[in-house]
Amino acid sequence: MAIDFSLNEDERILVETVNDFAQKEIVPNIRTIEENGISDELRIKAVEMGLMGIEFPENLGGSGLGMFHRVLVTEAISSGDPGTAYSLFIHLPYSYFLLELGNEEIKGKYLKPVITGAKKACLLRSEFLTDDVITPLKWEKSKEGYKISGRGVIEVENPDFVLLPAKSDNKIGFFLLDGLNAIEFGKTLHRCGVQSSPAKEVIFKDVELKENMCITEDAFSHENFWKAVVRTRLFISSILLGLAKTAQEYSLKYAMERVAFGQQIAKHQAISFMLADLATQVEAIRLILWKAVYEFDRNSSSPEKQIRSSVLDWSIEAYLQAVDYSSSISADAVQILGGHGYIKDHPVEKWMRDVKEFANAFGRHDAFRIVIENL
Amino acid sequence: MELELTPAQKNVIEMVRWLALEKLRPLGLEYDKKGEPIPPDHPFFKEAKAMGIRMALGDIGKRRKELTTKEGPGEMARLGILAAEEIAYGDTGVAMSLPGPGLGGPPILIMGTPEQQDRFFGMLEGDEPKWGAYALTEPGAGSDVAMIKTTCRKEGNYYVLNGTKMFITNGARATWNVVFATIDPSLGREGHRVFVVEKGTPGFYAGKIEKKMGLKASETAELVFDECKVPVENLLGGEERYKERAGFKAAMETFNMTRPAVAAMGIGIARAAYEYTRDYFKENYMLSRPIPLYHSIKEKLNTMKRLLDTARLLCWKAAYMIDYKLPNAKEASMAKAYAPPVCLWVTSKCIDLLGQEGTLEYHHLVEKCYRDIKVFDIFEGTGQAQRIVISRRLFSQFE
Repeated sequence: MAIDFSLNEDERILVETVNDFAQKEIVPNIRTIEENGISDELRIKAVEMGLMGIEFPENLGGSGLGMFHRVLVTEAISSGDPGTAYSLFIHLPYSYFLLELGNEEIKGKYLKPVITGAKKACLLRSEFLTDDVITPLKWEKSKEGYKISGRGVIEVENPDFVLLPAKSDNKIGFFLLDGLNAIEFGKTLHRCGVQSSPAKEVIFKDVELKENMCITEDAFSHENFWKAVVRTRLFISSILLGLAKTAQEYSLKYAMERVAFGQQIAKHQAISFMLADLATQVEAIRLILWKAVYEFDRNSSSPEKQIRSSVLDWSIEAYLQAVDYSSSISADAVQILGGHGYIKDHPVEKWMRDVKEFANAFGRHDAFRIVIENL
Repeated sequence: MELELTPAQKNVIEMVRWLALEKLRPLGLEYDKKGEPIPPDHPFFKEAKAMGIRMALGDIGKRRKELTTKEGPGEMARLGILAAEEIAYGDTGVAMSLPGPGLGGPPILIMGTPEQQDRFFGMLEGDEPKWGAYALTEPGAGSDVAMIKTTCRKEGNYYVLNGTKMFITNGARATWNVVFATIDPSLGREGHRVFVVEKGTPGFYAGKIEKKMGLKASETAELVFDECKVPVENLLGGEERYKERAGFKAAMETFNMTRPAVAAMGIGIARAAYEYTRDYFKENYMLSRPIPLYHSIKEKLNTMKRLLDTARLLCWKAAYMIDYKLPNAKEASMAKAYAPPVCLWVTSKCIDLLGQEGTLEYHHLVEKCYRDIKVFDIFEGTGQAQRIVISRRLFSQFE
């Protein structure tokens, strides 16, 4: 019978271990991490536990498991603190595009050291800028190889490598930047949430890249491009799941302790119904995300276009469900804590700020609401 | 983890869907227009029984070993909700009228002795269509089961029942009704006893058949017990079984099995409305543009599908837990709390999208779906009752 929600022994142990790690290493330090970013110590611990590349092949320093394991790990870390999960795994979108689009040489040189924690890397983002939806960077051919100009945003302090999406006419290409010598820094962006990842504007003035630093000139027509997109979306959705879960659990715990009108506020029906809805919605996110990740793991090597679009649809559904519910859950959690939810003594206000980042990272959620092709 | 049907199951579902569309939907529309339940002697029921079309949990009698033995996971609950959605997709009124033990099956399975199980499930076998029913609700007790007022007192080899049950699906036509009564209302849950009352028992008769806004093809009966003498052999599980509120617990455990199936039926209705609207829009124009070009409409249709997909997974999870014999009270209530409001929203939006035309009687299928769906947020415990169950389970981890 093929409807089975159970985890096997290995998966259970994995979840338990990572949960433990999150409760011990992240939960007590949420505010420190928010102010100072991820410490090297925390990153090294995560690397040692094999969390950085659990879904990557073993020859690249990963554990050779599926996206399902990534979702389990990220949910567990994110239920410690979602902002921390994002900053800790900031290399993942970069790594997914390299994994799916790069050749073996590129992967060995620029992906493996990132997975093993020796180097830091990130994908250049542009959603904070108003210039263009996909990327304001432009590429053109030059004598040496390629010339890049424009600007973008990086989210890591001094990354070793940056992956640059850039366009020329109507083609979106992906290029690798090794070292930051050729670029200029612009202003630092102060954002509402996820402050543990410092966002800094970077400016490219006709930066010359060698021929071999081009991953692909035309990503949209690359047969594996969609896989990198789906992987990224599943990763972001699992952060949202962890966020929803931790906000729900935190507000439940508070409501069981706080007394008003002579009883625990959880026992007031107005609150208890809210708590029931929050728990149901967390379960709803988890199940549809599991379905989406199951479809991906099962079909990611299938060449058929029809299957590919169904996997894409599932990942979008899971993402939107995660965005909608985690947004309302994080706000409801603040509401349940009342005035205490609004001050920094409790983390719910942070999660309510963080959630907006994930709802817009790597493709804004409102754009996805109309792209499912069921019509 | 595995979340996809096997090819064999897909074939079964295909067949059920075909039957649902070819047989159930026209019949359901016919009796919805007539505004009365399909009579028990309608030839369709015999045909349905011969073809093996069953309501969710309809084969509980045959498959009861699977649920009662300790060995490995079964598959009845999961197959049940898959079929429930497809059958309801055809027509829910007919789905609820299909012969079989109905909601009366689970309490017999949970409470009955092996002899009673053989006897009562045996009564429903044979070529003729026969029904079982589940009589719990009373004029003054619905979601709050502990409030029932129907009394029973022992006299020799009989129990004498007095009281009224209402909103009983298939109650009047049923070969037997599983009836919840109390030895003393002041005892609350402790006092509950569960009987199987056979048709023709002296002092038992069906009262009025209700007129409803939807599910018109399904019979909803009032049952009256007036000094009704039920033999002691029909007390489910025997006297000793009723220590520690077993009667009340049986009612609750029944809900844990039936709620996911009922939620899945709601999804079937809403999916029918959604697919109808989507296909209608594929072929029709509005203001000289194909309707899918309107983003707000496309977004609504996408959201409908997404919410239904999510609701379905909640039902799957609750059913999976039944098959694996895991305690599922919270998950069953989550499915039942989540699915019906979503389904109601979907059918309501479908009418909005179809505009004024959508509100015309029998002009579009959606109008009927809209009437049918509302009760799914009410029976088997209202959405509010589900939230009480869920929140109590959440609190219990702190106690």
